[in-house]
Amino acid sequence: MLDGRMIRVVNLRKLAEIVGEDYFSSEDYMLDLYSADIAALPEMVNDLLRTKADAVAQPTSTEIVSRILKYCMDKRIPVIPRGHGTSGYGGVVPTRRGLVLEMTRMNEIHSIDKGKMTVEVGAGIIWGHLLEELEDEGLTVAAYPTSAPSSTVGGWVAAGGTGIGSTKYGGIREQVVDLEVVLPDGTVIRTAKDGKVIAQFLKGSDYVFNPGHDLYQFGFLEDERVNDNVTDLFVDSNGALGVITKVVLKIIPLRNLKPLVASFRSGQLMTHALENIVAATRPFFLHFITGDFYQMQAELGLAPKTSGEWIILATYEGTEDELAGEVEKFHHFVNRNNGIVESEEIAQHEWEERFYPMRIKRLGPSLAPSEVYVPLDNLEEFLEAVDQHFKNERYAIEGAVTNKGEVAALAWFLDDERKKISFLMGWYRSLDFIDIGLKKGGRAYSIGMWNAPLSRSFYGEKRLKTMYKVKRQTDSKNLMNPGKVFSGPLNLSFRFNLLILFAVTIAIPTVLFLAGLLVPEITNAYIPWLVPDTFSKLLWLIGLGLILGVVAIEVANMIPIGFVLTMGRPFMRLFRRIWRS
Amino acid sequence: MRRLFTKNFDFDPDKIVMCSNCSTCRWTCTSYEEWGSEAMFAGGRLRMLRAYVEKNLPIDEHFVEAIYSCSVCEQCVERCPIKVPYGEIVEDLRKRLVEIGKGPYGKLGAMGDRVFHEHNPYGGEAKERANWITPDLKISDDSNIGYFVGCTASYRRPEIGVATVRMLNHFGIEPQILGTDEYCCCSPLIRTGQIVMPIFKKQEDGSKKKVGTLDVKSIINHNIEEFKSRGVDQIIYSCSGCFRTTTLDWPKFYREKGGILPFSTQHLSQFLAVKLKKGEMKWKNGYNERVTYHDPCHLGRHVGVFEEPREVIKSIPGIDLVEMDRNRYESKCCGAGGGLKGGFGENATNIASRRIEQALEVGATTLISSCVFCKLNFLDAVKRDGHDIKIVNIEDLFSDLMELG
Ligand SMILES: Cc1cc2nc3c(=O)[nH]c(=O)nc-3n(C[C@H](O)[C@H](O)[C@H](O)COP(=O)(O)OP(=O)(O)OC[C@H]3O[C@@H](n4cnc5c(N)ncnc54)[C@H](O)[C@@H]3O)c2cc1C
Ligand code: SF4
Ligand code: SF4
Repeated sequence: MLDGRMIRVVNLRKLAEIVGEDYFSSEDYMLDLYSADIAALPEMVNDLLRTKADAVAQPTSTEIVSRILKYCMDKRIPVIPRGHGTSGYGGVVPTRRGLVLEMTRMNEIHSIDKGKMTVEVGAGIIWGHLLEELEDEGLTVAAYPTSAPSSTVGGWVAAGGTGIGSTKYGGIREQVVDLEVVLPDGTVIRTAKDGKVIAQFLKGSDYVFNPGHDLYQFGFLEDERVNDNVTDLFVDSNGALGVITKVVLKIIPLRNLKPLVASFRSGQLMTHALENIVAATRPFFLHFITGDFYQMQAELGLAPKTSGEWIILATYEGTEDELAGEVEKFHHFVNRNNGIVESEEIAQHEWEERFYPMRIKRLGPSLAPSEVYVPLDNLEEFLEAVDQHFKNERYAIEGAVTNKGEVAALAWFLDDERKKISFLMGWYRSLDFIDIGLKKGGRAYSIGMWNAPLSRSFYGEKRLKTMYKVKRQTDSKNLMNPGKVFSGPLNLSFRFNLLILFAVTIAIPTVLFLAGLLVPEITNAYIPWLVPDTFSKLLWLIGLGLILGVVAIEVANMIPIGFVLTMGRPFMRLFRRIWRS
Repeated sequence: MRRLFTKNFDFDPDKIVMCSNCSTCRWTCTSYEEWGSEAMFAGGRLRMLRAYVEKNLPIDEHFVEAIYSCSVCEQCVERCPIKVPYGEIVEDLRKRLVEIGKGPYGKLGAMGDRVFHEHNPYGGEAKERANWITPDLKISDDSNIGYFVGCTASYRRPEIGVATVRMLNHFGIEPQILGTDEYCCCSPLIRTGQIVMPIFKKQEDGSKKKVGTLDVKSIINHNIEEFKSRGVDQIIYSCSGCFRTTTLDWPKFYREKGGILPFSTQHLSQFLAVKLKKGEMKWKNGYNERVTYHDPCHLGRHVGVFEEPREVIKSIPGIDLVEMDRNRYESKCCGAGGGLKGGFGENATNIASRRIEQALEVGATTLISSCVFCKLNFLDAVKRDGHDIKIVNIEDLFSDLMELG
C-alpha cells in the first residue's frame, strides 16, 4: 500500500523487448516528463499523490500495442495512453503508476478516401501535420482543436471537445467515422463494425458490487443493446476503455474562409449579437473574448485597435457566393447590436491568432484554466454570475459557440504558481467556474480525472452504464487508465502515507500519555488500561498505533478524489481570501 | 523569492515559469524530430530543468545530454505563444553547467581548448590561419571595409574565403582581413556555454594541470580592437554564424567594457543585394536550374535577413527559385548549430538529410545556402546518404557565374 513500483524489473525488460529498446524508458528524468499534463498542478498536490509512471513506451504498431496490453493485464500493470499531454483534466496522470503508452510514433496518414471523404490516420499524428498534408490535396478536416500545432488526433478523440469548425460542423464526436481500438485484453476492434464484440460484454445482469478500488464506481443491473457501430462509445472516453490506434475522420474540401471581427462596448450587446449571428448565419467558427480578456491583451500590447473591448470573431466557410450572403447578414446583426465591424486586417490577425489563446500568460506568470459548456441563451446570465462570484480574482473569459447552441466558455485565472499556498487554494476557482456553468444549465467540458465526479451528467446515465459494463468485463482489475471517467480513489504518495503512519503511531500514545498526565481522573475512571504508565504499555500502544496507522492509510487511500475536492473547496476559498487580503 | 535550489545550481526560476507546457513548439522542433522524446524540445527541457531545480536533483549526464541536444535554432521561440526566451535560457543554462564543471557535453569542451591555444575550434595551427589566401586575391591594409573570414572558411572550406574576396575585388573592394590576428568569433563557444572555462593540460603522470582560463570576452575584444586599430568601419561576413555572433553577441561583451561596436556588420548577401539595387551588378552567366534557398537560422530567424539572399538569387538569369514548405521565419534548421554537429554528429547529419529531402520534394536540383556551417553539414549528408542535389553557397555561385575562379 505504501509505495513501490507497479512494474518489476523483469517486466520492464520484457516490455522494452516488446516495444523496442529505443522506444522505451524507465529512467527517472523521463518519468517526470511523462507523468503530468499541461495543467500546472499545485506542487503540494504532486507531493500528496503518487502520480509518477514507472516506464514510458512509444509503440510503433497496433500489434505492439496489443502485445503490451496483453502483457500488462497479465502482470497487473496499469496502462496510461498519452498523446502530447496538452489536455488539462488529469487524463494522462498515472494515478496508480504503471506504463505510459505515448502514441506519437503511430503518426502516419494511412489513406485518404476522396469518394467517401474520409482520412485514416495513426492516433498519434499531430493535427497540424494532418492539416498541412490534407491542404496539399485541397482538403481539410471539418473541426480541429486550437491546440492543433501541439495535440494529437487520438488525444482529442479520447479527451473529446469542440474547436475550430465546431460552430458549423460539431465537435470531434461528429467527425469520427471509425476507430481502431485495442481493448485492455489486447483484442483489436474496428468500432464501426465490431459492435458484436462489445455487445457480448453487455449481456446478462451479473453485476456484483466490487470491493477495493472499484468501491466508488457504479453498479447497474439491466441489459444493454448496442448496434454494430460502437464508435460513439469510445469517443471522449479518455482511454479508460482501450487504446485508440487508428482514427478515420470526415474530411471536407478546402474552401474559402472569411474571418470577420466585430467589437462591442458591453457584454450584453455582444451576447445578443452572438445569438443573432448564430440564428441568422452559419459560421464555421464563432468565438468571443470578454472585455477583461481584451484588457489583458492591451496590457501586453497585443490587443487589436478596435472601437469596443468585447470582441467577436466569426469565420465563414464556403463558396464565394455563400460567403457574400453571410457577410451581409453579419454586418446587419452587428449594427443592430450597436457593434462595429472592424477592418479586414484586424479580422485576419484575430483569425491567425486562434492558436494562441495563452499569450496572456505573460501577465501571470501562471494561468489556471477552467472550461464549461453553457447554453448560449444563458451566456449573459452566466457571465454576470461569474463576475459576481470572482470579484477578487483576475481572470479573462473566451468562448466558442458550438453547433448545439452551447458556448464552450473558457476562463483563464491569472496566478503565480511560485506562491505555493495561495496557488493551491486558488484551485477552488476552476471548480466554482464549472459549478456556475452547471447551475446555468451547462455541462462539463471534458472528464479526464478531475471531472470524474461529473461523469454521470456528462455521459448521461445510459452511456455511462454501458461504458461501465464494458470496463468491468474487459478490465476487471481497473488497469486501463485507472481513475479516469470512473472516479478513482486517492493514491497517496509514499511520503504522505508515511506521514499518516507516523502521525497516527505517535499521536495516539502521545495523546493518551498527556491525557494521563493532565486529566488522570477521567483516564483512570474510563480507560485506565490505555494510559501508557509503564514501558510495556507504551510499546503496546505504539503497536496499536501502528495498526491503526495502516488502517488510516488504507482508508485515506480509498477516499475518492472528487470527494476531497468537494470537501476541500470551501476551505480553499476561505484560505485564498485570507491569503490575498 | 525564496530559492529552494542546490547551491551549485542556482538557476533563476522566473525565466522557466513562463513556459505553459503547451507543446506548441514541439512539432517543428529540430531536436524533437530527431529524438522524439518529451525531453527533447523547448517545453520539455524547461519542464525538466524545473524538476531538477525544484527537486534539487543532482545534475546527471541525461540532463546535460538533453540540454546540449538542441541546435538553438529558435524555431520554438518563433512558435511560442508566450515568447518564452528559450534561446537565452538554454545558453545561460549551458553557461551555468560549464561553470559548475558539468558541461559542456561530450567532446565539445575540446573546442574551448583549441580556441584557447590556437584561436579556432578545429585545432588548426594559429599561424596557418591565413594559408587559404591565394596570390590573386587583393587585400589591403587601409580599406575601411573588412572581411571577417571565420574559422570554417579558414581551416575547412577555403574556397568560401577565396570566393568572397574575389567577389569583393570584383566590385573594386580590397578588404582588410586580420589574417593570423583574426581569432574565432566565439560562436561555437557562446552557443555551448564555454564563456569562461579553466583550461587544463594532461601531465605525463596522467594528472591535469591548469594552464590558463578561456575567456570569450577577451577573445572578442581582441577582434574588435584589431578592426578598430586598422580603421575598419564596415565588416562583411560569409559565415552566418560569425555574422550573428558579431551582430548580437559581441556588443554585449564589448559593452561590458563600456563600448558600442566601432563598425557595422553586413552579410555578403546583404552586400550583394545593395549592389543589385544600385544597378552595380550584372551577371556574366546564367544558372538554368531549379534551386531552393535554405535560410540559415543564424542569418534568418536570429538577425532577420530573409529577403536579400532571395533577391540576389532571383536576379540570376535562367534560375528558377522555388520555396520549400518551411521557409523564412519557419525555416527548418540544418542541424549543425548550437554544438549539435560537434556533440551529436550523426544526428546532425540526419537532420541535414531531412532538410535536403524537403528541397528534393519541391524539385530543386541545387540547394543554396548562405552559411558555411550549413553547407558543411549538407555536404556531409549528401556524402553519407547520396542525395542527388548540388549544395552551394551564394558566394560560390557568384564566383562561378562571374567566372572569378
Ligand atoms: C493551447 C491549447 C489549446 C487547446 N484547445 C482546445 C480546443 O480548442 N478544444 C479542445 O477540446 N481542447 C483543447 N485543448 C485541450 C487539448 O489540447 C485537447 O484535449 C487535445 O486534443 C488533447 O490531445 P493530446 O494529444 O495532447 O492528448 P493527451 O492530453 O495526451 O490525452 C488526453 C486524454 O486522451 C487519452 N488518450 C490520448 N491518446 C489516446 C489514445 N491514442 N488512445 C486512448 N486514449 C488516449 C489520454 O489518456 C487522456 O485521457 C487545448 C489545449 C491547449 C494547450
Ligand atoms: S532551439 Fe531549435 S532545436 Fe532547440 S528546442 Fe528550440 S526548436 Fe528545438
Ligand atoms: S516554450 Fe512556449 S511553445 Fe514551448 S511549451 Fe513552453 S510555452 Fe509552449
